[in-house]
Amino acid sequence: MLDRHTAPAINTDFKFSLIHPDVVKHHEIPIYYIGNHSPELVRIELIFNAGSIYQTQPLIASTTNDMLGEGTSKYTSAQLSEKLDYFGAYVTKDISHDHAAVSLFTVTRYLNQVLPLFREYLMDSIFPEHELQINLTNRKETLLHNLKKVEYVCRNGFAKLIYGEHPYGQSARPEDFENVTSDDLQAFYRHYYLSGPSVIMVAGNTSSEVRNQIESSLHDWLQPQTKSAAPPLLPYTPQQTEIEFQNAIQSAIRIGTPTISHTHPDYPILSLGNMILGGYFGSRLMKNIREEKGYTYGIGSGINSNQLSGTFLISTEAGTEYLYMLKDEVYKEIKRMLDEPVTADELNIVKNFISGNFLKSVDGFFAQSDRIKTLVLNQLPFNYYDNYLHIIKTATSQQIQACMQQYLPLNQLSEYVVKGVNS
Amino acid sequence: MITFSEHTLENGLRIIIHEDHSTPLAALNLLYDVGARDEHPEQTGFAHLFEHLMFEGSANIPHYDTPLQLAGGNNNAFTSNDITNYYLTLPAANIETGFWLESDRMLQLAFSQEKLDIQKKVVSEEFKQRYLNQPYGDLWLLIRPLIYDQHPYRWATIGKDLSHIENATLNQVESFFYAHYAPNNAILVVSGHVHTPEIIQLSEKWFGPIPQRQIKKRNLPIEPRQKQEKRLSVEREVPADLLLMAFHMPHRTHPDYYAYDLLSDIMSNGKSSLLYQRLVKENNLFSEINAYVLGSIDPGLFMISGRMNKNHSLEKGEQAVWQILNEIKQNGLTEQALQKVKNRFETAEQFSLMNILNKAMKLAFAAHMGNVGLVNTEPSMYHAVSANDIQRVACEAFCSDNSTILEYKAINH
Repeated sequence: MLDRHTAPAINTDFKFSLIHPDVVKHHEIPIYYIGNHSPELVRIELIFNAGSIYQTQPLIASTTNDMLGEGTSKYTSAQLSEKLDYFGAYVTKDISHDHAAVSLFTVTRYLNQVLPLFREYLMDSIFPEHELQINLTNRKETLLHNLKKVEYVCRNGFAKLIYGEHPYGQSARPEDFENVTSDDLQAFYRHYYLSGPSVIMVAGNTSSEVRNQIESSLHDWLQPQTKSAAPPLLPYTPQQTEIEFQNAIQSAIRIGTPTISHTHPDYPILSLGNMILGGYFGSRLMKNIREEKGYTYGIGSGINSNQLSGTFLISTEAGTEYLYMLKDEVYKEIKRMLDEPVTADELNIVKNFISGNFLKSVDGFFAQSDRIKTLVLNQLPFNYYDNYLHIIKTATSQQIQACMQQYLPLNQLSEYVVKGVNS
Repeated sequence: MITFSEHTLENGLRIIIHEDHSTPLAALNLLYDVGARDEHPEQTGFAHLFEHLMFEGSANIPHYDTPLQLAGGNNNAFTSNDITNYYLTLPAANIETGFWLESDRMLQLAFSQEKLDIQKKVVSEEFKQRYLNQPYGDLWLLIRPLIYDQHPYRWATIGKDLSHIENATLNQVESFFYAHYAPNNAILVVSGHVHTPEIIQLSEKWFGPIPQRQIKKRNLPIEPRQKQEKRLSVEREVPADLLLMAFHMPHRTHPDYYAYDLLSDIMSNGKSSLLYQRLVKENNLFSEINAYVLGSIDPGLFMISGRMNKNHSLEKGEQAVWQILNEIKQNGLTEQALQKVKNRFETAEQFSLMNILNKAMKLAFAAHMGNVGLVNTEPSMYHAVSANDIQRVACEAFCSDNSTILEYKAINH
């Protein structure tokens, strides 16, 4: 008779191997190669120190990034996208507070045809006025759309509460779209893009042929930029704010505080505490507030790690009728993390969960490239993840409690509530 | 190319195994052939509510998630109009944990009034969060009953109405389980760093003892051919007008499906696509516009959805879309335009083969369509589509009599 009560034996000695990437320096710009000769795809990702912290006016960093390739001195926007699309290539652009990224994704067999076009994107964008106006009009509409979501309004309000007038606290307003000019973008582009990326990640097919094509296409790039200084953070004072939001049946809540980031030695333990509190489906917040009370579809906590600071935050959306009961439960759960050591069972589950899922986060060349990129951008050593997982594996309940007390004391938490009101 | 082997247990469970030893992980995907189309019209949202209950413990295992997390795994599920699909990934050495968990909840769930009550609340919050408390969130709730008169695709997976979820009883939920959850109504796919004989043996061990269940033969109403245009206009608190157009098209396994799918790519996949270039870039009528197909098991839909820019009316936007549709019908398209979407398809296809969970799902969906081999033969079917095929399907679909139009208007204060 099959015993269905007893779980099958498990192996928790999860082994992972992060590829040690080949690094080539080209005009001082490091190119990391993560892959081999077998995939038929290659992804080339360029990271620039061109995030929104470097802008002097709202929307300049994001618009410059979004407008790359929308017209070059050789091709119109339509011509360039027609050519790239024809070869089945995808270009994606991404902007954060700290960095801007531009990635090319193509089958290897067309790399030769696609690279010169990608080069146009990167080195010869001219930001035509009529393209800019279309871009601004459409993105303003998208912003107006987002501003009708309690979650979006809460996210922005919370960032402002935590970081105030620092760029980390800023988000675009509809009227900001009126003040962006092509000249602003060109100036930003010259300064933060044309001086070269800070790093290039190549993942997938990294055969010598692919390498030669990439390096010869980008060979005449200028010296890498000297990194501009990011404006320093402002002093933080915890605050509570509640605003009303008309015609909404749910409310959005964020609770959190500035905290340490990736590079801090206590980060692994803090991330373990975060996991137990609200970092995964089996967390205390999910169990209590979704699975026992049914107040919400989902609730979670996390640590956003930026260059200058990390942000710890709890976020959820819930029917307004549950709002205050839900908040009480959240604070109860935070307090419990501070007042009592986590149980051995909880700790054991989370340790296995983190290390098992780490395997997934380094599965395949693209995933490995993403992990290595994090290390490179944070100037962390290649054995960082070995140490990280070792710290996780040997962590104790007492360490976690002490860490939570140090970094998440109740009197340092801010709270932003967007209360849905249905009149 | 995905290599696979197929097996069937005595109780009817179909098993597909794909070995990929480039990863230390394994994925397990369990597809149940039950979706929102199988619901009673007065008990809509049940398949999805049921998906929630599947995580609330089974006969011998009080918590589904905990043992999986202990084994270093991760999981989720989704419900569509056609299927309910459960999946997990974990370090390959622990694959048996997946078998243990999935087989126990197929065997018997641990129902209770309390668990049902909580999940009813959770699903109600999901309903509000995703459909009622988002700008344009109720689009599908509005348009489905308009498009379909007879077929159960006329309601969304979340359900027609919150009250259907709120009124669900334990009895109804229990009988839904025994009517649809059974080895002979499921497809199991295992992929990754696994060995086929071992997976067959684990399947026999954990799923083999589960008895077959009586599955009622599906007998869904056939949607009669639409005879005239349908149109609905609503006003909501949204920042801009939105145009939604739906056209009936063939089902997922129809030979013309591939032409329809490529047609939607020609219209809106990538910056050089037709609708984007003409209506967003050239005249900026729309701030965004998309075309896509819903490849469902019963006849599906070709959708066009666009958000208008401030200074332009919905009427003008719709006219401009029709003009482009008519141009495709009359002039067809160039070889270059067709080759372009085929090339883009190839890149996306290559990318989708890089992940074991993706591959497991592809295998399960193909098996559900009736032929696992489709995972490898479909790319050549896309490749074989001609410009004539595309013009022909455009002529079939893009007629006013075959259209349902939703005018979603911003309230003018």
